[in-house]
Amino acid sequence: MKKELGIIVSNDMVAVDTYKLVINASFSKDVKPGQFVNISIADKAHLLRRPISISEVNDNFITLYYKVIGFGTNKMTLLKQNETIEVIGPLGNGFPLVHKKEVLIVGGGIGIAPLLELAKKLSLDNTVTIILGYQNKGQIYLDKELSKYGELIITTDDGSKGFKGNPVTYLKKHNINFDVIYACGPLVMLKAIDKEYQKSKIGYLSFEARMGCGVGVCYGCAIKTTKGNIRVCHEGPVFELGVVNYEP
Amino acid sequence: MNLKIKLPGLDLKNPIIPASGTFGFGEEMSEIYDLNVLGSIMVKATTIKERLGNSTPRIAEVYGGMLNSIGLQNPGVDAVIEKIKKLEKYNFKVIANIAGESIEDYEEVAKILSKIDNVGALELNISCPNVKEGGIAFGTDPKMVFEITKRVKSASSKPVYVKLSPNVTDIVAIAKAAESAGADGLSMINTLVGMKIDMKTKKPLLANKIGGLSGPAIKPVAIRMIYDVYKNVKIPIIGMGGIMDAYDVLEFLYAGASAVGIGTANIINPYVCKEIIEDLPRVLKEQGFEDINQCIGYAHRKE
Repeated sequence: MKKELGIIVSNDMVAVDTYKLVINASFSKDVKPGQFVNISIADKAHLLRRPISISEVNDNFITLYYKVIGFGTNKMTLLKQNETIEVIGPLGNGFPLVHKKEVLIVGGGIGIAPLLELAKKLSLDNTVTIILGYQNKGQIYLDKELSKYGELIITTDDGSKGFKGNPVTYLKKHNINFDVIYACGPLVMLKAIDKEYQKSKIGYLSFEARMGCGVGVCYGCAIKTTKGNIRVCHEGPVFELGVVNYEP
Repeated sequence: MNLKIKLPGLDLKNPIIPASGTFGFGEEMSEIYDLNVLGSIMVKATTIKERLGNSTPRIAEVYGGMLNSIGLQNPGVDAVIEKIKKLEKYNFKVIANIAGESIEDYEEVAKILSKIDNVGALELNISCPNVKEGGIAFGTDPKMVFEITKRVKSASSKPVYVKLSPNVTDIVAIAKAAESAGADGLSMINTLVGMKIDMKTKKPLLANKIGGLSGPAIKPVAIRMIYDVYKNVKIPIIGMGGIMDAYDVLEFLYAGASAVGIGTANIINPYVCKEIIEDLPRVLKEQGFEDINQCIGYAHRKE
């Protein structure tokens, strides 16, 4: 883990409200798929860092995708090439990798981002199927990049592209063979996948949380699990199937 | 440049102490930098039994700071003993923060934790706004503060610092009550009770509805309270409330603090204590001092 001023390589809109941010960061070589960075938005009033998952690593560069939802992400859209941004990373535990298996990767919305580096790594010695869920056609991103690493299925809530529905409803209607499932996306999606497969499959889910520190000291992001209230930033963000307790 | 400060139970090599609840038990931060640079650590509040804490969301960002409602999540005193013992290898004594739901709880935890060799002092947490029993309920009535301080003092074999709540009309009365009950020092201030309503749901954002406001937004409140308390008590004050850099540290010392707790800044920047310690000699020199002890209470000088 390091704190450094990363140099912005690019910051472009790639889908509705979705930006791709590429940063030159020296810790890139240490990144495991599923880890995240904590970004300072350099604002005197909005002080907490923004935890954002690392989507891909290439040489000295890390690629992030973020959805514009509030003050911080709005401010991030203003970042320009060659400007700097203070990043701390890599944080959290990534996805454990499996070998020589039939793997299913499921992503929803902005939760698709951390699955790119994962798919890249898993495709080396596994058979990979990828199901991605978006609200509509305009929200689609990362589909081309991910299609390089496995058979790709797209779902949209309104049916404007691919299967009409979401990855969970798709899986109910279609028979896909797999040994191991990886997923990241909205909590309802993770909950449905967990309930469906926790008894029959091996799987790893990556969770989002409102974080304070991102390094395990403040206990702001603790979630209820079979192992007690544990920190998404430190013990997570990836948890095995059957660990998280979804009841409030 | 001298940064050393001597306080009851604590020989501080510098006045920088991570504040309770923003540094865990040092475990995670020890992987980030060498903790030997610190004056001490105020470890996370400890209760007799394990506490799971409140539901999430527990954190809300607000203008100039944050709200938290962690709810004293901790593994209970037996597990904490082991965690504190792991800090033995460092060159400072730890400040153990104790909490409870009854005076008996506080006494019990004080008795146990004060016996650990590398605990230099206890911090009596009677100001947490996020728990239903105990916490702030003990810290807002001078009579109660007197009673609990006295009982914890007799249970503890180490000096006791009483952590004061700012959610009171007369902080001086509370500080005096703690002093007359035998407190060795004060630490102030804990968080201010606050709330944030979510624009999406139109309901309180925190699951606990209320939380403790911290960060630079509360610094002027802390400075004023320390200034007033310093004039009225003889025991030393460990000051805290929104410190972000070395200049803030000196502001607290000028107001009357003898050392400082760094809280929310650790959450914003995990390296902040180390960075402040490195910058402190420069800022002291710039402000015209050779010894940090010369800064304590400077704002009260008549000249």
